[in-house]
Parts: sequence; C-alpha cells; structure tokens
Amino acid sequence: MKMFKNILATIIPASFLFLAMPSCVDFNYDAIKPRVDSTTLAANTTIAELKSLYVDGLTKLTDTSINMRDSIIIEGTVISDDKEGNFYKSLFIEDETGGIEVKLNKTTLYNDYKRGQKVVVYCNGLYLGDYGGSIQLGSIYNNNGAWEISGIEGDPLINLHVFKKGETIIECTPITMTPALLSTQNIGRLVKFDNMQIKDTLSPITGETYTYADDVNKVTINHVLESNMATYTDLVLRTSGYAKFAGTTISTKSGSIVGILTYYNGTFQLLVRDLNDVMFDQPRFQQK
Amino acid sequence: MKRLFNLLLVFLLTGTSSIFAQITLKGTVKDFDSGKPLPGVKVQIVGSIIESTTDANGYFEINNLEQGNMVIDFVLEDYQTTEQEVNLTEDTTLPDIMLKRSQDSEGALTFSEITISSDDLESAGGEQSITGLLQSSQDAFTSAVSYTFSPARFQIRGYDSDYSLLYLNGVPVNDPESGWASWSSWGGLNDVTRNKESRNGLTPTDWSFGGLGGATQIDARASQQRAGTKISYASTNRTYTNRVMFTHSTGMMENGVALTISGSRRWAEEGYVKGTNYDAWAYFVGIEKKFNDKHSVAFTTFNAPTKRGMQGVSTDEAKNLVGDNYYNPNWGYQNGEKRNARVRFQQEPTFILNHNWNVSPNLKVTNTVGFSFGTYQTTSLNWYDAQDPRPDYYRKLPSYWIDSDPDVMNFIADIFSNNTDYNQINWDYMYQVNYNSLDTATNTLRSKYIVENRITDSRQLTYSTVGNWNPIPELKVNGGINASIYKGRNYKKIDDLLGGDYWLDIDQFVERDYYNNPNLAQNDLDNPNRKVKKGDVFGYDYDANVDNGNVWATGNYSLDNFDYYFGGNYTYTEFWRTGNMRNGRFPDGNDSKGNSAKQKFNDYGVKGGATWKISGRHYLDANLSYMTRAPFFRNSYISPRTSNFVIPGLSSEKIASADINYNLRTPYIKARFSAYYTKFMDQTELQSFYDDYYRTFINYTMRNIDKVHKGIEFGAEIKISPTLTANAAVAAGTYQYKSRPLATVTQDNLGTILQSDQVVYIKNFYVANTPQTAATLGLRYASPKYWFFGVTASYFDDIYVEFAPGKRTAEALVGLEEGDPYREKLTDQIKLPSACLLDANIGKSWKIKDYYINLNFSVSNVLDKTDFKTGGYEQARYSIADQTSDKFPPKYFYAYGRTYYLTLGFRF
Repeated sequence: MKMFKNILATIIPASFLFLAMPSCVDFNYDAIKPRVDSTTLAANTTIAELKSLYVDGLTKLTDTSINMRDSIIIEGTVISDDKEGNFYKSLFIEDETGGIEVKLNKTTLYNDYKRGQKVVVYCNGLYLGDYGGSIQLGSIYNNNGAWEISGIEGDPLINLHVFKKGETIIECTPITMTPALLSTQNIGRLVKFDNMQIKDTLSPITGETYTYADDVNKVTINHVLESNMATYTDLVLRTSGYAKFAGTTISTKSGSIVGILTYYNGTFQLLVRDLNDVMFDQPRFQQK
Repeated sequence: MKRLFNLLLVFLLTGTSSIFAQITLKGTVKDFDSGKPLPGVKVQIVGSIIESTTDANGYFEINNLEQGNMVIDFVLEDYQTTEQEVNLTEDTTLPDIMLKRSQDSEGALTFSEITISSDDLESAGGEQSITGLLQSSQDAFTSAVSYTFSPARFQIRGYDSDYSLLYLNGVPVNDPESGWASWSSWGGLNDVTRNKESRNGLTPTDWSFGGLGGATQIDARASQQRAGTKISYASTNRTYTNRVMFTHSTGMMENGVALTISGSRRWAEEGYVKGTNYDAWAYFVGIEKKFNDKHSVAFTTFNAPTKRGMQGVSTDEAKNLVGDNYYNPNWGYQNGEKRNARVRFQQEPTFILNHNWNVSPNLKVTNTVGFSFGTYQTTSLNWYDAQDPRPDYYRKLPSYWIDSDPDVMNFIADIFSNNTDYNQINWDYMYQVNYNSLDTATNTLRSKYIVENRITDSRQLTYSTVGNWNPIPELKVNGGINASIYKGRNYKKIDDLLGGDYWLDIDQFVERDYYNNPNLAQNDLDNPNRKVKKGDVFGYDYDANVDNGNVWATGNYSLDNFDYYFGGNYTYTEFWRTGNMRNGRFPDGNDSKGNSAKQKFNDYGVKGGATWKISGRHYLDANLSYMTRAPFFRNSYISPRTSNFVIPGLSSEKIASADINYNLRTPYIKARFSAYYTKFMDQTELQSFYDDYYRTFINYTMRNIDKVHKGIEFGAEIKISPTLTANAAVAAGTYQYKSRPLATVTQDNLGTILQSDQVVYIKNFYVANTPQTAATLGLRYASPKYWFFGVTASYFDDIYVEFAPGKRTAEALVGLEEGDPYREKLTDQIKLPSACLLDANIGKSWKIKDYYINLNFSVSNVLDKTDFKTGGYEQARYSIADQTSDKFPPKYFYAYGRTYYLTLGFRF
C-alpha cells in the first residue's frame, strides 16, 4: 500500500510537469498547394527581331540594343522536350515570327517547361551567339580564354530571365515544310515533313538496320532524310547518343516526321523529341 | 575435471609462500545527509580485482581477505568517491561509511550527443556519432577526459566504439549488424542508468571477457536504485532545449520487492543547429523481488522513442557563404515552417529478466534473458530524372561557375549567401515539379521528388549466464556463456510523395545506362514497374540474420605482491542475408532473393596479465591479449541492398594488444600513467559512392587493412587543499594504417567487377576523426557551504580527415608525374589545426527539511570558438578529367560553439 502511495506521490506532480510541456514538436507539414507561375511581363520584341540584333561574335543584349526600349522581352511557346534525352540543356521556343534556342545550364527542363508552355524571356544581360549559322540566346563562359555562348547559369539566373506565363498548355502546330521553306528564318521552329524516309537503313559494316544513334559509345548520328515528293538537299535526322531511343532501330517505313529544325554549317538537322514524332506508317518508297 | 582442477591449483600454488588468513571485512554504506543506506555502492580493494557491491540495505561483505594494509574505495555515481585505509588483522566490521553527494551530480556532467547524417557518410559505412565516454569515474585518466574530450570526438586509444562492449543488466547492447554501442536506447533515463562499472582497456571484468577498448556494465536493477523521488528540469541550447525527468524508487521494501519507475522527455523546436527539431520520450520500469538470501529476480523494461531532424555536413565553401559553420543543408521552408528532410526516428523497447543466485558464499550465478525489438528509421530525399534537390550540390555553388562571367559568379555567391530558396531545400519547387508531372495515360501524377524512409526493424533475443566463483581465497574464477539471435529487416518505404500520386520503383541509373533492357532496372523484378504509394515498401528489402554464441572464462590468482590473471574466449558467429525482393540486376537463383550462403566464423581470444602491488598505494600492471573478431554484417556484402554476394577474402580480423600501467594512490594524488600498443590485422571496410568516371554508383571494399595504435596516457587528480582540486590528463597517441589494402571495386548497377585487388597506397596514413593528441587541465573549488565552481581547459591536436581510398591508387594518378602539385593534392592526407576549448561550471545545493534542491549551470566552449574542426571526410567522388578533387572538396564537422546546460533538481 505504501508502494502505491509512493507511486501516486510521484506520478501526480510528474504528470503536471509533463502537462505543462508544449504538446508536441511538429514533424508534420501541410502539403504545399499547386501553384501557377504566371508573369505579367509582356513581349516587346519578336523572336525574329531579336535574332536580327545579332551582329557577330557575341552580342550582349543591353537596354541600348534597341532604341527607345528599356528592355528586350520576347515571348514564345516551348516546342522542345528533353524528357527522352535528345535535347540537352536547351529550350526551343517560337512565336509567329520564328524560333530560337535558349540555352539553359540545367537538365530535365521538361520538369519545368512542358511542350506548349508559354514563356517570357527577359533578355537584358544575355547574349546572342552564332553556332554554325544558328542564332542562340544564352550566357557566356570562358572556354580556355575564348568566350563562348553557354547556358544561363542555373536556377538563380534562370529565374531572373525565364518566366512561365499562364497555365494553359497549347502545343504549337508544326509548319508543314516545302523545299522553299527550308531556310534560315525557320531555324529553331517546329516543322513537319511529309512523305519522308530515312535514306540508308542498313549498316554496310554490320549488315544490320541502323539505330537512331550509338547508345553504346554515346555518339550522335545523322541519318539523311529523303522525300518522294520534293527534293531536300542536306537534310538529316540528328539523334543524340544520350537519347533514350538512341539504341532503337530506325523506322524503315515512310511517312511524316515532326521535329525542331536546326542548322549547322550548311546542313539542316531535324531533332525529334521522341519517337512519336516519327510517324512513318507507309511502305518504303523507291528512291528517286 | 576435478583432477584437472586440482592439478591447476597445485600448479598455481607452487612457489607460493603466502598464507591466507581468511579475513572477512563488512560494513554499511549510508548517505551522509539522510543517513539512508545506499545500495549499489562498489566496494573495491585498490590495486586488486577484489570488489563487492552493497545490497539494498547498504551492507557489504568481502570474504577471504589477506592480512595487511589496504586502501578501500567506495564508489557510487553521483557521490564523491570515498577511500578508507584499513590494516586488517582479523575479521572487521567497519564503522558506517558515509558518502557525500558530489555537487555536480547532474547537468554539469551531461554529455552532449551529436549525430550527423549525410548521404556520403551513410554509404561510407558509418554515421558519425559522438557519445560521452562514460567510463569509471574512479580512474584518474578517464574521469578527467570523459566529458571534456567528448566534444572533440575523442576516442580512447583511437578505438572505434565497436571495440568497447556495453552491457545493460547483463545484456550486450552493441548492435549485431554494425557493432556500434547504442547509448541512445536509454537516452533520457540518466537517473536509473547511473550505476556503471567500467574497465579500461584489457583489464579483466567479472561479467565478460571484455573488449579491446574495455567493457561497461550498467546495473539498472530496481534493488540497485536509491529509494526516493527525483524531479528535474533542464534548459540547454544543445541538441535539445528542454528536459524534464522524474524517477521514483521504493528501495527494497519489507516484502522483498523493489520498484523503480522513471520517465523523461527532451525536446526542442530547434536545437543548436538550425532546422534540427527534437522530441524524445523515455520510460523505465524495474521491479525486483528478493525471495530469500539466495534468489532474487529482476524484471526491467524501458524504451526511449526519439524523433529528430538531423544535422548535415557541408563544404567550407557553402558554410563560408552562409556565414555559419553549422550550416545545415538538410532543411528548407515549407509553408513558412522549417522542414528537415532527414528525420531520424528510433526506439527499441527492451525487456530484461535477471535471476541472481547466490549458490554458496563462494559462488554466484547470474542468468539473464533479454528481448528487444527496435526500429531505426531515417528519412531522405529521393528523386527521379530531376535536378538534384540538395542545396549544396556542387553545381549550385559559385565555384562550379568559375568560368562564367565574374558578375554572374558574384551574383550566385550573393544569392547563396542570403536567399533560403537557394541555400536551403526548396520544398516548393519539388511540389510544383510533382504537380507538373502528369502521366496522361492514367491521369495521375508521377512524383519526381519524394521523401523516403530507410528502415531497419530489428529483433534480438539474448541469453547469458555468468558465474563468479571463489573456490579458494587466492583464486577467483569468472566465466559465462551467452548467445544471441538477431534479425534486422532493412527496407525502405515511401514517406511522402510531395503532392504526387505514385513513385515508380525502378533504378534510374540502370535505366539510363541500359534503356533497352528494362528488366535490369527493376528493383522488384517479381512486381515490375510497380507504382508505389505512401507507406509501400520499395527499393530494397532484405533481412540481416546474425547469430552468435560465446563462452569465456577468466581466472585471477592473488599472491602477496602479485596478482595474475588469464582468460580465454571463444565465439561462434554466423550470418546470412535473406533477400525479400528479386532485384533485376541479380535475377538468377538466390543471387538477390532468398538466403545467401551462411558465413561462419570461429573466433577466439586469450589474454593475461599481472599486477605488482608495490605497496597499497603504488601498483604496476601489465596486460597482453590476442583476439580475432568476425567481420560485421554491414561490412561483408558487396551491395547488401541488392544482392547476396559477400566481398572476396572475407575473414576475421586479428588484434594483438599490450599495455602497461602505473597507478599511484595517495590521499592527495591519484594518478595513472599508461603505455599501450595495439595492432589490428586484416580489417575490412566498405564504402559506396557515385563515381564520376564510371558515371554510376560503385562499391569500394578494402581488405587486408592493418593498423597500429600506440601511445601513452596520463591522468592525475590532485587535492591541493580540502576545497581545491586539480585534474590533469594527457593522451598522446599515433594511430596509423600499416598496410596497403587491396580494393575490389564493383558497379552497384550490375555487380560487375571493375577492379580487383587494386592496391591502395595508404601505408602510414593516420586514423581519422579523433584527436591523436589531447590534454586537459581543470581546477575545481568545492565550498563547504555546498556550492562549487570549476574551470577546465583542453587542447586537441593531430586530427586527420577521413581519406577517400580511391584517390590513393595507381589508376587515379595516371599521367601525373612525381612532384606534380596535383599529385600531392590528390594523395596527401589532410591534417586539421589544433584547438583549445574552455569549459566552466558552477552549482549549489540546498537542503530544506527533507527536500534537496540542486541548481547547476555549466557552459561549454566558454570562448565560443566556432571554427574548431573536429573531423571530416573527403568526398570519394573526384573528377578524373582534370584529376583534381576541387569540385568535390572535403566536408568538415565543427564542435559546437558556446552552449550551456542549466539543471534544477528536487529530491525527496
């Protein structure tokens, strides 16, 4: 009995002590709500205008680049997608006047910018550069003494220059190409070629059907594209060795193909975002 | 058997001239203030292994003593050790011995426990845990170093904690998977775990063969707890900010029952380091029934569920930018609240049943059965095909942008310095990415970022019997057998999908490299491409099974001026892995699922030593030992998460050790001087980390590791006046690697062996993360009016940084000539600067009627030295392209700056 008295004598004051404590240390957190980032900035420059500002070497975009404007702001819709790895640290956007590659030093951009997302790029402080005939927008870095165009340096800088506008996702309709449209002003745009096929399908070395790229050695491969309706010279399907579909055998059929039109030293290159862009559903045609 | 024993006796007695008068010494120990009897007091004959413990009535009896002068110590935690000199000629009953409470019984001596977590460390085989060196306070060296050295991560003789064995009521509490001593299992139960018996180094014990670094036994049985009630409150700014604790013990009541209950809570909204919250509870119930003089049974159960946000480590670059050496990259704001991504939860409810049996006055047998089931959980971020969310990831620091426009680099530095969206975890970003990750086919959100919970659920059953036998006065034989069955299930669960609907259970590194072979990437091949939700098990799931059995015995034989002992130990260990998931990389047979082959080890140890009792006040002892020890489960598998393969050449390590100690005991000076030498052979270590060259996770196992630890220890306690005491201690050692280990490098993805028997050039490298030189000097004034004041200064030097072995290989140095500065940068071991710390404490106690009140205030690191690096590690990752490791610099731990501990206690 004494024992119980003892225990009571302890537990009662002890319970008061414990009750006086804050009820709990919080380890639970309310989920953050979905949020739409939408800038109020509006474009004052078209993409075509911006590209025309390029002089040579590296062109720094400052407030005096265009007379009477405090800033250079472009707006466009995202047309590239790095989910499948065929794009690397680059975002292609286009408006009605043209498309441009915005270089961002960040991977997995599709997590932030879906295809069809409208974005605004505040260009002051950025640079325009020329990569084999393609105008790129980005930052610069010192490559062993030579300044070259490079990606905007990570989130702290990207968040100063690239803004999402609105939540509506409306994917761009690709421009259906003709030989006449295969020109510099359509570089960087989403395009579609009809009645196409890959010219050479069998490797003369292995005798096997080519893959889109060399996934073993991670080497980029160009496959020449040909059409049975029109004549395109120097047009290739270009695939990165890091693309997830790099090791997939190429389609030997013919049909339509969609992609971003890029250009490098005289060659037009088509970059597909994934294999859904290769809509080869017709039998192979005879080469002309 | 009996003949063998007689033979042994004859052998031992040969040459013995001493005639033992079988004298009995008895007495009663009481509390000086209350006059109540004190149970659990250790009564020790200085310079011998003879000792006894007072029973619930404070009574002790030591039989079979020899004639002569001797010094007897009465030791009890919280009380001042009292000594008595006795000249024994016949059976003697001492007058009641009155022990005074030591005034700094609480608070001042509360050690701080710091646990640091990071992904690198976890894979490097160990989280860095600092716990107090709870050693016997009657030893001049350990009492001086116990608390003052612990902030510097001092390890006695440089030994890892798994070389010191820890027992609670006879149950070994070192984790069978890793060997680590788990002090945290009874965190917050300070009141009831104060009765400790420790042995340093190789010195023999009554309750076990002992480890290399000694053994500690905590006696928490109810009969050993002092009757009374204690309530205390503490305020501090260390890992927690508040502590309340209460304890009630009945003492041994007339019906032969003793009962103790205790409970505590320690908590902090934020500890010393930002983003570290803390919530720990603890309970303890002990009941003991004494049936008669021969039998008593004690039942003890306790648990200390603890949850806390962890401290992380980072590089100096990040710390300097943020301007805080305690910069913690583990947290970030979520809806305005600090949320830590690395939350540790642990608990281990334990049940212990002891049967103490005094078979005869000369034979005591203790049987113990213990059962515990625990869980140990740590959350961590995980992500799939998304940007690394860790704020201090090297690509987010200004140094990564060294080739950018200087203005841009400055801007990044500025933003990292000031903006918590960038220098802390950005939870908002992760949620938004998940909300933006719509899988259109199913209209569900595939999480790109999650919080996962890595869990070890363990169950352990232990049994032990210990016998203490005094067949003849000169001989004391201790021995025992024990066995343990352990199973630890290791797996992970989804803790938080961060706004998403599911996580796909595949390995993204394998998927990237082997995109056209989707089976390879499966973590759970029997359930491919499984969409896992909150609470689901994923990633890996295996059981670690570790069973062992042990028999040991020591014999102590006393002569007039010499004591000898000899001991032997045999341990059988077997362990195996049971995979509960078939991994896509190891689909065949039982390569990943099912039981691995059993690894079996037979280990033994022998030790012996002698004490030369120059006089009752001077004695010299020397100890020698050789032992082998089975590798721990955690170091034995190439990739325990995914497969059943053990590392090549797995074998027991061997340890040879010797020490010599001189002890001085005068009424004014207590001192010990020791020298030791220990050689470790054939150790095994496992690390796993991301390798830049192979662009994948690799497992790096080293074997044939030899180390030598040698040095001296000195400790002294000098009574300058009745009120003024000085303490001094010096530990000067050299702990070095003495071999070139062989490394096997395997690709975690596929188990492919990338390198076998790669030579690691680390001979003469230093053992890291403990000061190899340390010294302390303290002064303490204890007023007769029940207050005290003390200051302690300590010095630490020769602290080395844990090195990354992969950089010390021929492969890493290809193309770098002798004398190339990069070569040195890659291979030299980093030594950290020395440091001095100052601590102070003050306290007073009052007695008001039957109530005792004590108030203690202690301040650690009074001068607020915040740049003391107590250790660190090199990142294993380095860039092979430029053969430097500048991108992946070392990460360092810092000792806390100024902290305080204020305790107010009531006792009645």
